[in-house]
Amino acid sequence: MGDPDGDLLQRAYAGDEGAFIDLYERHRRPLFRFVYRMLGSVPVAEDVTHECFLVLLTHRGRFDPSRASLRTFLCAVGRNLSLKQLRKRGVETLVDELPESVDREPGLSAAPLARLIEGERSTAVQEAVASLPPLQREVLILFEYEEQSLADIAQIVEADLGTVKARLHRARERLRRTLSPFMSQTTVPLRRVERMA
Amino acid sequence: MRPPARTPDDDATRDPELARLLEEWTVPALPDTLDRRMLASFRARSPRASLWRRFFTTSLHIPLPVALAALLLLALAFWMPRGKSVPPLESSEPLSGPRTAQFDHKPPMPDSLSGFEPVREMNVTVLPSDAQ
Repeated sequence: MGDPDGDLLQRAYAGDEGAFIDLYERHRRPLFRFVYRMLGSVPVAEDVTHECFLVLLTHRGRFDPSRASLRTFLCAVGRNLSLKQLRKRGVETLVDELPESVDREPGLSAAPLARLIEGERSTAVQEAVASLPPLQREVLILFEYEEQSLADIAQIVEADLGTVKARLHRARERLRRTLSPFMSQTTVPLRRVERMA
Repeated sequence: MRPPARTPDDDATRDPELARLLEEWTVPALPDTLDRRMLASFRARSPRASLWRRFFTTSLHIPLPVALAALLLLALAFWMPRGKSVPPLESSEPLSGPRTAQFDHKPPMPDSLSGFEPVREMNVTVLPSDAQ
């Protein structure tokens, strides 16, 4: 079998603990990162990541290697479980677009330079991504952070390619508006570097 | 069919400035407990897991109402007073004598079956009771 994941998975199904550990270590971090960025909580992301691998172990027929990679499959399971968690919190997960809330935008009124000095840019980005509607957020995280292809993302979120592109475009537009003060701060040194070069 | 890997067209839509800013958000380290939980789950489900290990690690999910009802039934069965023993039935009709058949003289049992020959033809004769 040419696919290393497929080979490891078959051995894991046969009870090979080493093969399962290899497989788990290949995918645990990306899956945990994705789920954490969707939900913003380490304990919940841990539970969801654990559950994703349990689905892989217990529902053997659900993963079809001819249709998608194991990474895509696990992300799809993680995505569905994350949306379930969000629904439990009362978050609307079915609509593409939500009205932008001024309250949730990270400190636009505060001086961006002050926040930069305090090292809060990370928090600002986190809040800005968290303020995206879930359907835009998942696409943005998978593309920008997990570097998945648009076609893979379309499989994971069960949408067509055009929908994925539209959601990604809207997410970026929204983030540019939300983070514009921070973006202007970051671009200055870059332009200087370009001029120097 | 599997979709192709990331293409240059995918990256063409990328905004490098925004991407750099997004990288500011880092994810905390994986909790150690996840590895332990995962390994325990694998071992519990592994076909190579020994019976005693599966016996001690397998869990059953019982709905709370069912569990409570079972406990209640158990408690009732334990605390319920034992029923009185049933007295022997007394018949109104007096017994008219012994009704059991009894052999006065047991037929002698041979020590061995040597010389025994089964009958070739059996004739059964029914005698009336007063013929004795």
